[in-house]
Amino acid sequence: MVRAKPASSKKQKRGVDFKKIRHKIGRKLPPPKNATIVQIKSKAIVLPQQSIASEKEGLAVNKKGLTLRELLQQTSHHNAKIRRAALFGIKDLILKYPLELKLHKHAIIEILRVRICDNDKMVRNTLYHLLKSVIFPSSKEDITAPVISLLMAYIFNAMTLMTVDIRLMAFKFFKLLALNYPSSFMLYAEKVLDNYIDILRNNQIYLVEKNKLINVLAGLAHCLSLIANKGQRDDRLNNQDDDKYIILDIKIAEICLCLTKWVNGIDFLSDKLVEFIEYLLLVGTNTWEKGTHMENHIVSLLPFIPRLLSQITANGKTRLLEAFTCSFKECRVDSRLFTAYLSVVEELLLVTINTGLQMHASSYQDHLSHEIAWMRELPRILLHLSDEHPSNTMVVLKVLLRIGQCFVPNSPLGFEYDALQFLLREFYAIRSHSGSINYGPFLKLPNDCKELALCCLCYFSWLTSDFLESLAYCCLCNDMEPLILLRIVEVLQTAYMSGRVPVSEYMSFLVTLVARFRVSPERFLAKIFEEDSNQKTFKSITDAVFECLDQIGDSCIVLKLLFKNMLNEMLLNPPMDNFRGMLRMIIALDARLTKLSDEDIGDLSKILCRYMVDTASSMSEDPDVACRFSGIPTFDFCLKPCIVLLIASGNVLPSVLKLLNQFISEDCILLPSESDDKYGMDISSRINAVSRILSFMFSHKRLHINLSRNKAHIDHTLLIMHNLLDSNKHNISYEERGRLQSGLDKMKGSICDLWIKNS
Amino acid sequence: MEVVIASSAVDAGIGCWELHSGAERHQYRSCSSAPHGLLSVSGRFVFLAASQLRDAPSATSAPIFFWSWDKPQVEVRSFPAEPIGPLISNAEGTYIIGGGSSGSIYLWEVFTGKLLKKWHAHYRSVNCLTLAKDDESLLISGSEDGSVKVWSLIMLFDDIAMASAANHYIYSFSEHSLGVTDIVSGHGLSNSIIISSSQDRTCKVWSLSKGELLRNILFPSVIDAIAMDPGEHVFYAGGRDGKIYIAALNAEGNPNSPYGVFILDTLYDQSKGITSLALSKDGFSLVSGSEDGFVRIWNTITKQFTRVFKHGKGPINNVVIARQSPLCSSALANKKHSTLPLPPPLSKYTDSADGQVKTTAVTMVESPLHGHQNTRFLSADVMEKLIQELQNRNTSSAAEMELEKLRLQYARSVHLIEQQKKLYEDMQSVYVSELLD
Repeated sequence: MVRAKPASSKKQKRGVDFKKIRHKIGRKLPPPKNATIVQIKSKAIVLPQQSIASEKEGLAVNKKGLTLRELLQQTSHHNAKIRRAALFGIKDLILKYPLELKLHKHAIIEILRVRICDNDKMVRNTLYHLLKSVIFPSSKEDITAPVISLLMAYIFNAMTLMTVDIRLMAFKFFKLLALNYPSSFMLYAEKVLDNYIDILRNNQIYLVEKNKLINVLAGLAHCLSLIANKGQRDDRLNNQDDDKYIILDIKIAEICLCLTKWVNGIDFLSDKLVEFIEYLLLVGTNTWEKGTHMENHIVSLLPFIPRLLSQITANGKTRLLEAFTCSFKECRVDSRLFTAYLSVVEELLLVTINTGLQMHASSYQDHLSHEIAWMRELPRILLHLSDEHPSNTMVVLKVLLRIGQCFVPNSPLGFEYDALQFLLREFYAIRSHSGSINYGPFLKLPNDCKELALCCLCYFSWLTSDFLESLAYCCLCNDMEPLILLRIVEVLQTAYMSGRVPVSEYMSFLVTLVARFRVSPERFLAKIFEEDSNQKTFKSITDAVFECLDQIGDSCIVLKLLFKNMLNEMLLNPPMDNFRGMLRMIIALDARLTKLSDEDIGDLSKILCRYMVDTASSMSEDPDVACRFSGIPTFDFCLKPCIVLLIASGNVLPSVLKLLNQFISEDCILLPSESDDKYGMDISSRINAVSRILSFMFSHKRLHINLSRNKAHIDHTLLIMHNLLDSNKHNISYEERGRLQSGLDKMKGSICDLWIKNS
Repeated sequence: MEVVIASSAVDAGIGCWELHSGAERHQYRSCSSAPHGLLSVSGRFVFLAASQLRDAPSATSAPIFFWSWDKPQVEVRSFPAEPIGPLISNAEGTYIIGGGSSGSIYLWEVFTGKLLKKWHAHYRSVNCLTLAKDDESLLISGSEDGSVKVWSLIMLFDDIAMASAANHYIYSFSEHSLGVTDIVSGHGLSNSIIISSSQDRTCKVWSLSKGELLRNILFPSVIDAIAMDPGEHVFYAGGRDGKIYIAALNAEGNPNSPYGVFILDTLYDQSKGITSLALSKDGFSLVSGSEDGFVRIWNTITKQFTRVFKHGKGPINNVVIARQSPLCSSALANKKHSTLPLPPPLSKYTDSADGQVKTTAVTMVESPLHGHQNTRFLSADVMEKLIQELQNRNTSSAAEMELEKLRLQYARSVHLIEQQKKLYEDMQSVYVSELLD
């Protein structure tokens, strides 16, 4: 935007000579209340006494004539040389006047400790020597716990600094302290050991400052010997201390394990280590169930197990594996410890895969049994985790997937993986003895977990029918998400393509899906098509199923194979959506029904007939009342597949017409054998239904040729209907009779027109 | 000249069409190829190769067939130790690399048919292979177990490095949760990318230099085939739902896209699942093979399909764009007096008597076969043979080499002449301008 020019700019250009002077008139503003008065009024300025001029008679001074106070001040001088000189001065002074140290011990230490983190190497070294040679020896008893704590604060600080030199030096300081005052270590043992672990883990230090690390290790050795001494001294410990010692032990073990990375010859250690870890694993997990901090310590040890296993003897290996398996089984699934266990399991399993069978046969057998135990544990864990810890479930599933991907089929572990199916069923859904279906945690998990679980299925070398059944229950559950449902179909499709599902199982799974999928709300019950119904899901599922069936092979033969199965499902009187889905399936496969036997066609036409009658009688005729589905009246929508079938295959129409004929005269002819008395339809509604079906058939031009071939049947039907209306046997009201009669006449007329047109 | 060749899993032969004119060419008989198993080898030997599916699931082996471009019958049959899925060769046609169903990768030399190297690469069958486009020293393999591994071919032949290395591969990416279906690699030397597609409905873009995942794109269906735009602007992903998705690489994402930011557009023609894709060298025509048995050619600019070829009844599982050299097409035109030579069959096992690859010093002739890149990765045997042929000066290869040498000399002298001409013209213009002034 263009800013408007300030209006004043022009006016200012007036000549300089005629500068306009403005005079302020009126009272001035009073000064603000909070203004500071800067006027200083003083008679004299007093300067503090300078040190050079000061009187030092009687005070302790060093060679250079500086008092302790001055020296201590100078230790924080910005010049490193002066700092060092000050330290030397202190040494000098203390040697001369040992009493000074006694009196000002606290103050001295408090100031000197700051130098532990000094940036200058020389200053630190000087301090080290000062402490070592002067301060510590001369005040053995005076340095008490509070003083040590003063020092330790800075030592810990230095131990965690970024600068490597200071860090390493800090350990040196600590060693000095521990040598002189063993109690200092026991007070801070845990924290100190933590710091040792940190420094040992640090690869950079290991690579760059190898020789300095030796210093650190020497300190460590001293600390450990202290612990050993202490342990011998007081055997009897109360429970609280026990815990503390075990934590210390864990720390020590961790240090040892860190060392194994760099040092090879630790055989002397390994037995003890294994024994300790074994103890820890066996006892640890159940004793301190409450103590989460203990868990954290064990977590820190677990990652070392795989490497340890590769380094120790066969005997130790067996023991360690046994302990590990045992504690893995007992571990609570929602703890942090558990995740650590899982990652170890994964690592160990992958190690075996990579090395294959190169290991010793006997030890391999051992290993194998443990691995199998771990694998069998996984499904149980999944169930146990339920849907409360999706992140943990995710981890377990990832391990499962990894195992599936890596195990060669037909290897012992491959077999074991396949056998997991049986255990995994419960994770999906299982049918209990009473017949109700218990859904597993699968359905409640978030989508990414579900996806992962399905991925695991892809690596089974074959899918059992039991397992497919479980999956089918899952698919038919109302809460199932459409996306996952389609994914299941897709997974099965790939499984079938690679020959891991028998074709019969696969087909029956697909048919079940179409036949039993619950569309809710049922279209024919709802007045209007609702947005939230799963109508669309059903459509996409049927499409997916058709695609799968199409892929199997020659669709005529597929239909022949499937037909019995479908017929059974259709006889169960499924909801109309499903029935329609099945009809569409038949059409999609082979609308001409070329490979079906006459008997099959007879059965099919019976079912078709019933479906049509049901639809016609249950749906309102009035186009305004009848609900619509994407613009088509529902009645048309439901009967459309029937018409397509009738058009495509010539054999079905005659038998359908014949059956309708019988239906008009006898009511229960269309019913399956068992249930006969429910199907009570009075004569008027029968006539109504049949005439509606017939008129619907005639409204399709493409069906006309087929219809005209069956002229005799149709004429016969019309005649029966006419007779029924004429006879007075049935108690049909007069108005009803009139209505039916007029409808019938109308239809008759149009049919006759057609006959004439066609002939 | 570019031709489209397509093969199917059922025995329908190999169809062949000219890409630009659409004219149908030879059909090559009796081929039921494995996915990614069709290959057009160029270089010294010019032929078609296809790994075959096994006849029955119980069969333990399946052959690899070679066809000469000018004959419909199978000319050479080789029987490797296990069924081979994907087949690739390097640009010079010196090697054929195949991925086995047990997860092993085989490397054969075309000239001799020797199996130079076989190594165990994956836990499950190898699904796809590709060579890094720049110098073809990196092999990228994708497997049913969901892992993508990058191998250095140079390192694989370096026994000392192999012994000392913990892993024989350079990278192993295991982020895919299901089997990998296709991999393509891009240009760019140290900075090139690879794209892998998987049955888990994702495509992942990896950096070959850093070895990390750059982008993960989730598709609405399983992607079976991918092809990368030569400019690496976008890539095409053929889905099992019959759509070809156009996904962004360097291109700007489309926040309004119904499939997510990175999927820019789709190509769709009521077809069934897309099983294979190939892009012509200019990047303007995209060829797709579909499960319904049609090969479609799309114009990538107008995003319309320009041609449809019908190939048999069965689903197509391979589409390849082959570039025929003029030599080859002339041979096809007058097939009476020239038949193209074919290499010997590929051997089943590594030659144990001869040791691994011979490592003798060979002095090479300075001007190699085609340009200067050609003989970098030839085994000693082959080089010696070539030299011998050159010395004898009686074989076709020797003559070819001689011809190449002459051609090179010719090019050099032409260059020289042009330089001199330019110099002369410059001088003239200088003099003329001086005179005029």
